Amino acid sequence: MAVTDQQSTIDSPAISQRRYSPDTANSGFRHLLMRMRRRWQLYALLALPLLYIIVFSYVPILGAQIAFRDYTLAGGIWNSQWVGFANFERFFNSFQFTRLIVNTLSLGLYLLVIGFPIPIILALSLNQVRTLWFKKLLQMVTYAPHFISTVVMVGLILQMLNPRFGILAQLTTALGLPSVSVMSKPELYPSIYVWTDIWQHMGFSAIIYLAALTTIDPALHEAAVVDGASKIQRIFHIDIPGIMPIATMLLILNFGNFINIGFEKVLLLQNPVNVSASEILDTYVYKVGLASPTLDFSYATAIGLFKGVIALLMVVVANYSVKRLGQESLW
Amino acid sequence: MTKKLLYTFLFMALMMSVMSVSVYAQGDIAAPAGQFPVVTEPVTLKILISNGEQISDFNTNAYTQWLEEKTGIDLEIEVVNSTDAQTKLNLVLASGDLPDVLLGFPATSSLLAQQGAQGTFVALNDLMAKYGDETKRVFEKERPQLLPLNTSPDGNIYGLPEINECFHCFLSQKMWVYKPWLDKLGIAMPTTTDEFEAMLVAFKEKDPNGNGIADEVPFSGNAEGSGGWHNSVEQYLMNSFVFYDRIQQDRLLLIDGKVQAAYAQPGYKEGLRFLNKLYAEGLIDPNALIQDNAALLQVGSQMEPHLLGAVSGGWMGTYTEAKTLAQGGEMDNWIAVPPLKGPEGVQTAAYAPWGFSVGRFIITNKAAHPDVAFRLADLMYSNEATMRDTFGVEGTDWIKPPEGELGINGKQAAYRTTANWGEGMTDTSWRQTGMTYRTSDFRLSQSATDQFVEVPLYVASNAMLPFAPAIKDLIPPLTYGDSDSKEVTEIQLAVKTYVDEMLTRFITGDANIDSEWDTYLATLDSQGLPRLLEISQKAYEATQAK
Amino acid sequence: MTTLRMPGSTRRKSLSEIQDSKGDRVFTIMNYIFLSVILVIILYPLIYTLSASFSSPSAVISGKVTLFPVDPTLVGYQKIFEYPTLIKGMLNSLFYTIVGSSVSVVLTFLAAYPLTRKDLPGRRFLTIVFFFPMLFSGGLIPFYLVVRDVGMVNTRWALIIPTALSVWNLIITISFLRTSIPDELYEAAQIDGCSDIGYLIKIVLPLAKSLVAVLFLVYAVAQWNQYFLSLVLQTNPELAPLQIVLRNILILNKIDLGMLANVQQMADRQALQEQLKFSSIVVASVPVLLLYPFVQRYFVQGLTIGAIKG
Repeated sequence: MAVTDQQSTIDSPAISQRRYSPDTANSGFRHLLMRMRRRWQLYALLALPLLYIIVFSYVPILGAQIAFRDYTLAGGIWNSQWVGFANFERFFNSFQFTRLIVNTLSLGLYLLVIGFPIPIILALSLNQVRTLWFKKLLQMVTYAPHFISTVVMVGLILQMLNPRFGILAQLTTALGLPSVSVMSKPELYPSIYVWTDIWQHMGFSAIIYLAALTTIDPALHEAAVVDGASKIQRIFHIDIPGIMPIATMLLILNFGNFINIGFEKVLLLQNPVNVSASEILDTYVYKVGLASPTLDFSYATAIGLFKGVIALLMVVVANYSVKRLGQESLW
Repeated sequence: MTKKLLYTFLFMALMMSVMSVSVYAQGDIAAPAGQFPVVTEPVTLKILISNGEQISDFNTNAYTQWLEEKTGIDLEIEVVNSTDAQTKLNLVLASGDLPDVLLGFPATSSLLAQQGAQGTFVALNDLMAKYGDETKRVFEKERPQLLPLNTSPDGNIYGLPEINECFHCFLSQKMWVYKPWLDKLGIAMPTTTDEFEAMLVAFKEKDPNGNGIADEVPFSGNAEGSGGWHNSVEQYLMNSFVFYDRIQQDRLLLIDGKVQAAYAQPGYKEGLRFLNKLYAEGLIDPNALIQDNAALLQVGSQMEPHLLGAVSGGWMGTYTEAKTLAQGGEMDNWIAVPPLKGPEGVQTAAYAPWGFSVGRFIITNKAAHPDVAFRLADLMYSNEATMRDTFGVEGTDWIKPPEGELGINGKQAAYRTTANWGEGMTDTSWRQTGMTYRTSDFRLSQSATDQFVEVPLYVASNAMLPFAPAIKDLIPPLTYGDSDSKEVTEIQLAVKTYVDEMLTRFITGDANIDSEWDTYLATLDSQGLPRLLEISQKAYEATQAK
Repeated sequence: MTTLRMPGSTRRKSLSEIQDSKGDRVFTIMNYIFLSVILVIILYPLIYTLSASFSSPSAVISGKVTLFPVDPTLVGYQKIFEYPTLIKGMLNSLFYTIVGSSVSVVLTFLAAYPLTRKDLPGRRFLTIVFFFPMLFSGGLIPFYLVVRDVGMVNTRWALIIPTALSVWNLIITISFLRTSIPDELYEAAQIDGCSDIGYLIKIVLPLAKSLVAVLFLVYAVAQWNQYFLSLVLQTNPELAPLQIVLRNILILNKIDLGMLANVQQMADRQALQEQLKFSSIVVASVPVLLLYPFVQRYFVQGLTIGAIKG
């Protein structure tokens, strides 16, 4: 890079003002253009991802209008019959609506409240381990269950909770307690779902925090040790603030995503007794949408849009709260 | 000169386009009915097929090659696994990326009507009239009752059915008891619900497995919808209180020509009372109501000591590991209980003698030559094609049994499979994928040698048949109009979830049958049950008008 | 680079040289106990799966396997490798994983780096543009139609391009870069005459090695487990990834109740399915498990920042 360019790449208001002001009324706009031109390399980098997101995300979003139409193949996205909010009304008036919302929100919230901090605790705890083989083994083992498919995982859960042959039954009998049929209690359903989820995914979720912990300057720890800080103090005053920005961001993302619980595991753990607690939006969409013998993509899209609106609200609230707390926010 | 050349070229181009238009306008290039090959010029048919996991490669498969040689059609086959067939079907229909032929997909008659009306599926009536040979044999001579059931409300046929008359499947809500226990305790086969109850009490209290511990499970099953086949505890027993069909109609029945829901009848309430009593006495395995099929298999496969006394199920393999059944005559130890007489004298059996699946061969509007595609479908109904599809090549996969070898039904057998059939992958047959025509007689003429499951199932089903309602008193498979169909889907989902949930709660006593019955009926009403019955009534009357 | 010194850096002194206090030792012991408990709880399903894959199917069906293999056998593994499509599926998945994850990581960095720069006009707007699709989508059909119109249906690209960029990972990357790379570095680089792209290549990427590793891992795992996208976008069996092949193998061995065969054959098939269920998990997981130690190398504390210092 040429030496003469070096000065101009520094984005200092003082320099720009000296060069381009005072000017006419639209100086603000021209000033913006100048700033944009100076950052042309950044825009060049962004061009490809932008093109990508427009083609594969925004163009399909135009297709979400089928939520307001009665989609048929012949009519397609643009010419199927316009039905306004009929699909939404049908959903709001459906018998299951209240139950679906309550179940989805409570299960999602439970998962968020428990599932969010645990990987952080695991990562902080792993980070303190100095025995290298033990640390590596632990990381590997906690990461591995992530690869067990949902079908098998559910099979495993049912097997372990089986009141006659399961390991839980063996434990309770050994302790002289009566065996409990855990799966027949609707009130236990969310706990079973959430804790097995944590069991399966906490190691994988901890990876990002482990990576974040590596970027903390060791000098900070060294200085703290010199000052006589204990390990716990260092965790609270160095490690946690160090991963806080990532954690906050993940929290906001989780808020945007917690309505998407994923139907497969919920569905597989369902039985007629716990269905009052286990029917959620995603299982419902699956049942009336993809797995339904009648073709009704408009309805499924309408429910999807509804979920999007809820997610948007969640994110806006989360982002606002984070901002108020003085943390780095999404926008 | 150049101008002349240009004109000549333009003229020729024009002629060619006119000619090609005329070829397509004629459309028909297939040979007349019954003549082979179907085409002499090469014609390619794109077929999307579902449920072909056991076929190593469709395009080199012996049956495919036989079809190609016989008809002269070039078949280009792509495959979707059976579990995801519904998803894929919905996707191709919504996106318009359709093949010429959809083969073996789980279409419904409502879907056929919907897509037929939109012009996506080709109406087959004229093609059948002109090119039908085997189809005429099937729908005009042998199974004329199937034609109206496969015709959409607008009078068109938009898909041909797979016909597979599985006799024991018609009566698959069976009850099985473990005979060695009956023998040991000296109990006769129960004939009434009271005797059945007494039998369960004996199983529970008299230590039939002889290990001195009361670890017997008198009666078990698994939750509906979690695997297995008709294993939920009420499926068989409820038929001693009200006609209760979960094979075809999801518990709708006819009362004086009106479509009604079994789960809203007084008889059902009495049935619940009986089941609740069994549960309260500890005769029903508490897990039976919530466990999945894998857990039931565990209970049923315990041999030392044997644990299970009685169980609901379509056949023994749904509650006992097949390996256990195959050893030491264990399969013969399980015998089916004929329908029991209830306290009010009700003694019936769920019966669904329809034996076909709609829309297994669909020609889409992408097909340039529907006539050629139709002739292929027609050929598939022939006995030779059905044998090649289901079993494979004569001599290697199946043989003609010698004179005197008996079939499942006790008459001379027509074919016996060899060891080749039934193993992992095959390249000689389609393993009943696609479309075939198998009548009950055809199926029952299979040789009864070896440990063939079909024989005990045939015997058990025959014992139930006298108690089944007459066909005219049954609701045939129904076709709903487009908007009705969406409404029905949603009501059915809500009602089914609720009824299954309440069934379990009534049986366990978590909900009180007497005090909560009215609330239960009121909730069904608010979920749209009256509307469901109304739409079904309309659809039922349409089938009777034809 | 030698001019770049981190603020507050002191003489390097290994942490292990410092004697732990009594409180620290108690904490360390508690920590080890806590992690050991987690280890045992998580190890159980893994050992169970492994044991079940080596056990006789009868033992698995009747629930006899609790921890160690019962009637050990290798049939499950023998059988699974008999399927001609398995190796092809593995190779396909390997291709999708390597190419797809590389494309994804590059695309994520291309988008993330400019969005971390506070001096980028329109940064907030652009961030929202990238974030919005996480909440709203057109659903399956519109997505399918776009992929078809760009000509990717039934090609290898179908699994690589249309879902290459994950908004989730993008946001994490932005946040990570913002916190781990101090603004002072950028100012110093500007004085050194470094261009925007040069800064990305010479400073940001070397500093974010652990992030690159994690991103690659996360994308790779998602690619390796990819199933639904292939179901929707591909019908050509030549292109099928491993997960599709495994699913087909498992479905293949389900028993068809409408047409019952000989009991012996049925027993074989039921047994086989039970065994394949577990051996297929092992076969499908081992390659991604092997990837982990490579990523783990980057998880040594202070590695990245220390590397560019003095």
